[in-house]
Amino acid sequence: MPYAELTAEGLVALVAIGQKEAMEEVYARYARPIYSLALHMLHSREAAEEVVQDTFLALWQKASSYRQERGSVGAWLMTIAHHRAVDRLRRDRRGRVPSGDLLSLVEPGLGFPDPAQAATQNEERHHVRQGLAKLPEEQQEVLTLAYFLGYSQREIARLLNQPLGTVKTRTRLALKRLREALRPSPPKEGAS
Amino acid sequence: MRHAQVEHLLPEYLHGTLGLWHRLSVAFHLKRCAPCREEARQIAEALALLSQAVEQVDPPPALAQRVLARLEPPPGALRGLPFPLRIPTTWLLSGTMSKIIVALGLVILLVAGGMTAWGMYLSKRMGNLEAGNREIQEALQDQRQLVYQVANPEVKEIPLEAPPEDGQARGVFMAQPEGRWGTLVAIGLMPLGAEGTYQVWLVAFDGSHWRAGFLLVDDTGWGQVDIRTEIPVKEFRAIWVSVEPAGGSRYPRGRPVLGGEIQLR
Repeated sequence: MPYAELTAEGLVALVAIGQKEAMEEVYARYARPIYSLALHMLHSREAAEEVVQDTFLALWQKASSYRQERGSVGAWLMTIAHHRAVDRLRRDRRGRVPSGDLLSLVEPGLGFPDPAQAATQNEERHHVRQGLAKLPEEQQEVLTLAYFLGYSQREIARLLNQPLGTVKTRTRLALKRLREALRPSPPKEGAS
Repeated sequence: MRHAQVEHLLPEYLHGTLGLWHRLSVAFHLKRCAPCREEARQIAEALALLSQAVEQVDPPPALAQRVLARLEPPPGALRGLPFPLRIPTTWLLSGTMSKIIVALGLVILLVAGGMTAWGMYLSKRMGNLEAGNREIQEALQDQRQLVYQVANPEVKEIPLEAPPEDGQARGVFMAQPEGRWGTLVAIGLMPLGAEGTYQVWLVAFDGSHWRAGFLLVDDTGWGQVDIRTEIPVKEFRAIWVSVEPAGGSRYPRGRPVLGGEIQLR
C-alpha cells in the first residue's frame, strides 16, 4: 500500500487497527517537528527523545479516539507532545518559585530562531514567524512564557509583576491575533 | 462548568498548564459543547503552527527504531527451536559413530531436562491455579457487590469520562446520595506497570481533595474499587482518577484519566 500517498487522517485510521507501516509513515511526517519542539522546550536531547517516544506510543494506543472534527492530526500530535513537554518542565522545576531572574529569558523573540535565518527556512515557518512578529511585545512575552516555558497564568502574573487579569487578557488577545495572522490566505488571482 | 468559564480557561487548557480539576472540567465541557470545541480546535491549530516556529532539528535516526520497537507485542516464548535441535541434520547423518553418540547424548539430556522442567511447570501451575481460584472468589464478590448496586433503585449512577485527547476510557460511580460508600467501575484504561497506580479522588464543595482509594486495572482494561467516605456521598461535587506514582500521592499531581461531576445534592 502506498502509505506516503495517504492523508494523515487515513494513516491514523490504519494505525488504529494496528498497521505498523502506517505508523512508520506518521513518524516520518511528524517526528521532526515534535522532536524540535521538545528539544527547544527541554534543552535536552534525551528528554526530547522521551517526548517523541511517549507521543507516538500515545498515538499507537489511542489512535481510535482521534476525531477529525476536533482538529488535524498534526495539531493533535503537537498538542500531545507539547503537554508531555510541559508536564516534564513543570515536574522538573516543582518547588522552585519563579524569580525575577527568569525575566531575562523572555526578551521578545525568545524561543524563535534568529530572524536572519529566515531565508533558509521553509515558507510555512517564515509565515508563522511573520505572524508572531506582528504581535505586540507584551503578547509575545506571555505566549512564550506559557507555551514554550510552561508557566501557568498565575505564575506569569507573579513573574511579570502584573495583575492576573492583565495576563489573561494578553494571552487571549495574543491567541486571537495569532489565529488571525496564521489563517491561510486565499489563493491569489492567477496563481498557479 | 459554564460556557463563559470555559472560554476563560481555554488558553491555559491548551497550553497544558491548567490545574487538574479545571483541566478535567474543561475537557468534559468540550465533549458536549460544539462551539467551545470549535474554538479550542482553532486555537490548537494555531498553537501547532506556533510550534513550527522553533528551529527544526532532525531526531537521531536510531530513535525511529526505538519508537517502533516499543510498539511490538511482548516477545513470545518461542523464537525458534533450542540450540541442540538446530544442529544441521547433515552433521547428525555424517556417518561417524562418535557424532551419533554425541547427538543421542544431547537428545537424552534434552528429554531429561524437558521432563524436569515439565514437572516444575506443573508444580508451579498448581500453585497458580490455587491463587487463580482465590482471585475468582474475590472477583465474584466484587460482581455481587456490583449487582447489588445496579439493582438498588436508590443508587445513583455518575458517569465518568476521559479527557478528549486521552481517549476511550469510561467509568461509572454508583452510590446512594446519603450513603457513605459506593462502587467505581472503569473500562478502557491501560494497565500500569510497577511504577504507577490509578488513584481515585473525591472533590468536596470547598475544593478539598479526598483520597478515595486505588483502582486496580487488569489486562482487559477493567478496574473496580469500593469507596468508603467519612461524609455522605452527596457532599462531594466530583470524582476523578489520576495516574500517580506507585504507592499513591498525598495530593493529586499526576495525569487525570477519568472524571465526573457528582451533583447529588
